[in-house]
Amino acid sequence: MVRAVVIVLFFSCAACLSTPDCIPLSTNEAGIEFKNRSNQPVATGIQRMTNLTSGIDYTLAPENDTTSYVRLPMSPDRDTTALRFVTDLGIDTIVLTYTPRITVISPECGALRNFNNLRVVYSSFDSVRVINPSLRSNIRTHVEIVL
Amino acid sequence: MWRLFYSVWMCAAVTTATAQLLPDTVRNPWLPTGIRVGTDLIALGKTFAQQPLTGWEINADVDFKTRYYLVLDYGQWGREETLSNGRYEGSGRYWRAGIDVNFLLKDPDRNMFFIGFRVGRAGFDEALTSDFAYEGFEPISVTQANANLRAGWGELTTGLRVKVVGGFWMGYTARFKFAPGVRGNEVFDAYDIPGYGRADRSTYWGFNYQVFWRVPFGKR
Repeated sequence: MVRAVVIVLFFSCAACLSTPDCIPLSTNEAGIEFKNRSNQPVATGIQRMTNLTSGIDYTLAPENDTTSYVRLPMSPDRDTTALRFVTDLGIDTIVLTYTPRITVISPECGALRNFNNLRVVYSSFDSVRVINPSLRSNIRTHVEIVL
Repeated sequence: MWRLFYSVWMCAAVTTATAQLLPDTVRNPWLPTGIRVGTDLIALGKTFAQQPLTGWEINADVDFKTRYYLVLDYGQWGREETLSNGRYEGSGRYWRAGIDVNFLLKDPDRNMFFIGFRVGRAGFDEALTSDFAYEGFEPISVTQANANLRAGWGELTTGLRVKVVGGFWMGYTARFKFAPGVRGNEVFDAYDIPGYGRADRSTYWGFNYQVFWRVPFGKR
């Protein structure tokens, strides 16, 4: 009887293995929301947005005249991105810095590059604040621009 | 996890307290009576099978006239993984030190079923090359290295040691590893701690099938 228990104990522990998780949430896109001083979203007419660091222009989809929310990619090969917004209110620029950091998830999922420590180092808007400093695809808003 | 930790700790504490209540009729209870030196067959098997994980481990324990064993492990651990978007390489050395408490005191062959505790430490290096693609941007290839990393963790262990013939012993050790900490990973997040496993896991299971040779210091 004792031997049987020992054998069961001996082999049951061989099943104590673990498998890695694979939930890639890393992104280089920052969600930017336009708000008023009452903290309410403000629909804004945006003619053009430009990533000055990488020289890429973005425009709203033709069916959208205005929006209170845009999602713009940060330059992945740099740690700083300058964004210029041409809106109904004028031309404004913000400069964001961030820290890319690599995490190996597993052989199957590979390595992910997370963009953390998002900070505003320059803004011509009245007020800009970072509310989520880590860029994740499951987070809607990272930066709020108060108009 | 803490419930399991607490249960095992309480079990060990009760056993220790019981042992202390018994009259100590043994002279020089802390005089070493033998040393057992062995190795882990799983680590060697993985190395010969050319698994991503390679290494070896030397295990040693010193027995006394009491139920306690002083344990020391030393090993080397290397991992080379091809990732879906790159390649990872890491290698280093580690050691563990701790105490085993034997629950089969009356066994004439000194076979043992034990519960123990270990402290583990590792020193290692890592290198990583990985490729990333971002919509609207040129692909990026990043090569980085973490050098002279230090790590530490704790372990609760249980297992068996069985005398096969003469001084030859076999056994296993199941390890519940916990509370890993890494210092020096300034460049990228440490992935694999030698002797522990994935650095991002707060707990980890380990398992060793071991063979030993015991050298007695004298008759018990």
